[in-house]
Parts: sequence; C-alpha cells; structure tokens
Amino acid sequence: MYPSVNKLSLTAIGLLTALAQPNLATAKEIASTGLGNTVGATDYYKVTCADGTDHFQLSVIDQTPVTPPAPQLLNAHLSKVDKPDLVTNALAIQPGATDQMLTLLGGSGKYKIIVDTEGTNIALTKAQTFKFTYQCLYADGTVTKLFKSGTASIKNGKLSKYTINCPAKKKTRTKPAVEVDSLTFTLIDKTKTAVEQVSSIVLSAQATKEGFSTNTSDTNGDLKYSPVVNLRPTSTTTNNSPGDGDYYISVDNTSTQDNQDNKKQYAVQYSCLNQANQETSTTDALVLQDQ
Amino acid sequence: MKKLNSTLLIAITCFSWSAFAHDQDNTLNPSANATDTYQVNCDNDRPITEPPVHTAYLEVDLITTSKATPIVSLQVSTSTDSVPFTITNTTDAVNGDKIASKTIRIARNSAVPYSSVDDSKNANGYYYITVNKTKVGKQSYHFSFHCMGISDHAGTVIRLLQKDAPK
Repeated sequence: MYPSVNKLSLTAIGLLTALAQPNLATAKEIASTGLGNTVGATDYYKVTCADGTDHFQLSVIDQTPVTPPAPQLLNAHLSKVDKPDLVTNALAIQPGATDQMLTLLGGSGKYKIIVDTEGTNIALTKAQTFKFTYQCLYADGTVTKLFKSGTASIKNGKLSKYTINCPAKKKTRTKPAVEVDSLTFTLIDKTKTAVEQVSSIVLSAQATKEGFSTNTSDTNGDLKYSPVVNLRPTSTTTNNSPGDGDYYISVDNTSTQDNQDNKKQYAVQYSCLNQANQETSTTDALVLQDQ
Repeated sequence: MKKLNSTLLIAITCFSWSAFAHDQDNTLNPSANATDTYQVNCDNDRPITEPPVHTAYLEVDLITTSKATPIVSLQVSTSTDSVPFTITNTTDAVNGDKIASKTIRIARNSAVPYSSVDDSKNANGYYYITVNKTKVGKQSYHFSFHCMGISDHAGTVIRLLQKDAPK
C-alpha cells in the first residue's frame, strides 16, 4: 500500500520546514496553513512591537513542493497498407524508453508507420526526438536486406509518417519465391526527461506600518528564505517613537488565473529590533485575514 | 454653427475625462523591495445642493509599461479600522502588453450590499494601495482607481505616502 499523494505532500512540506534555514537569528515565525488558489488571495497578520523598537524585519519562504511535470509522450502505430484492420500500437512511450518494439505479421507488401504525440503534456513545447529502426523478415526466419535506422523530431500535435515496402524474394532458377512474414519497428524516445520546474508564481510578503511599506519575494524549490527586508518608519501619527506599535504583514502571490497550482505553502519570520539590532518584545502574529 | 458644435463636443469630452480619469503613473526604483504606498479617500464630493453620491466600492486595475522587467503587483486594503478588514492583490501578468490586470473591487463595510448604500451605511473612507515587484529592476506602472457609487462616480482623492522606501 503506497501512501497517498496528500500524505506525501505533507511529509515533503514537513521536511522542507524542518530543513529550511532560519534567516533571522531571533525571529518569531508564522507557519501558515497555506495561501488559497483564488487570484488575489491574501493572508494578513498583525504584530505589535514594544517600546524601543527601531525597525521591523521580515522574510518569507515559499515551501510549496516542487512537482515534476507530466512527460512528453510518443505513440507508434504500425499497420499494413492493404490490410487496414491489421494494426499494432505502442502507446505513451516515455522519454528514455528503449524497449518499444512492434512486430506486425502482415506478409509481403507495404507497411505504414505513424508516430504521433497524442496524450503528451502540451505545456512542454520542446520538439520530441526519437530514433528508429525497422527490419523485414522472411517467412523462413531470415532477414531481408532492408534494414534502416534514423532519427527524427516531432512537434506536439504533429505526425511523422513512413511507408516501408517489404517485397517477397523473387524465385530463381534454383529456389522458389519467399514471402515476407513480418515487419519489426523499434522506437527509442530520445526526448530528455522533463526536469522539475520551479513555479512561475512568485510568493511575496509585505510589511506595512502607517503608510510605510516594504516587500520581499521568494520562489519555491529551495530551502532558502527570501532576502531579509527592514521596515524603518520615520514618522508616526501617535506620540510614540516611529518604530513602536502595530505592523501588518500581508502574504500574496503573482497568480493571474484561478488555478490549483496557485496554492502556496509558506512560512514568515519577523522580528522587532531596536537600533542596536537587538530584539525588543514581539507579539505573536494575530490573523486578520486567512484566504 | 458646425464649428460651435464641435467645440462644445470637445469641451464636454474633456470635462468627462477630467471628472472620471483617476490614473496614477510612477516608477519603482531598481531595489527588489521598492514599494510605493498611496492613500485613497473615497467620499461624497457633491455640493450640498445636489443629492449625495456615497461610495459603494473602490475599483483598481494595474498595468506595467516596460517589457522584460520585473512583474509588478498591487495590494489594496481597507483601513484597519474597517469591519471587516479586507485586503486583496492583483498582478499584471505580462509586462508591456498594454493589457491591464484583473480589476479589484474592494469595499469598507463589505457586509453591506452595494445596492443598499445610503447615508449611514456606505464604503466611504480611506483605502491603502501598495505597489511592488518580485525582483531587482526598474519598472514603470500605471493604475486606475475609482471610488464608485451605485450608479455614479463618488469623490476620489489620492495621496502618495511613500516613494520606494521610508525617507
């Protein structure tokens, strides 16, 4: 019994969280339950910094697991021109697969081979390359002189077609004619295995206090937090010093279409610091909006 | 007479544009954490002799103007004394393609349906807009913002609070 994908994902997230290197020496952390997949989804937190605070420090990490994309696939179809119902297929050939041999017992005559990309991951737009060989075999088990090999490439949504003639061996004065028994076609998918892609959707976090704001961003696929940013307010609407009081943290992403892939797992580290960069008292983050 | 009509038409067009065009252009400096901050005040700006137009919601969309530069996002929030407090975010997907981001609609007192805005329950008040980007690089942007009543434009005034970083 294999663990479910959800369990695997949670395990991966837990591992990432455990291995992530803290960016701030004495920071508090928001370990989020995740940012939703709706465009515009924003989480919002309030943190209060004690008297003596000079600036607020913030860093964020995108802990969304990296998932490999579905591979580009090839399909090979071998048929006999004069017997269209006689077909054999090798479907969903994976990149790097070397064992896709098709044999069709069609007798002498013309054979048709079609290679297509139906069912492939169309998000991967790179042309797929393959190597092929084919060989006609006589009924007595001997090979004909025809043996060919080559390489070709094919774009998504396109076909490669081949017609191969396997004629009978003509009779001679001493030997009778020998019919062809079959054609064997082998395809090796040379397309490189798709590498894991870092999400193009970037996670950002902003710290804001009374009209002052700063921003930091992170992409998934590593254990590093984003660059640390400091928000140092220079004036205040209250009688306190500019650095004291309530700061607000927003977390969002750059998605522009509702999509399951927009979901983000993240953590935020934050600190209230005095002029000597020493931690002042920092409250736990209060959730004001969780999307 | 024709000339007079044309002049009148142009004058009316210009008046309409100046009355309803609320556009902000600016440029974020190359720092990755550069952030511009604005305050928008939505309010009834009609003379006392006219029926008031109160805000039902604030509408904002964003467009970036330079290609091959960082992606820009914009956040809009109600002021924190709003109940419930609300914040949302929009991003211009493709730089320089002249197509704006998804339009944001946000309202203070958002539990109140737009259709029932009246003197006592409306979305008048302060909103805050922050504009930032995902990485290092200079980027110019433009956003439109409109405080909207049920069927007409409400008073809309913007103020720049921060350019790039606290000064």
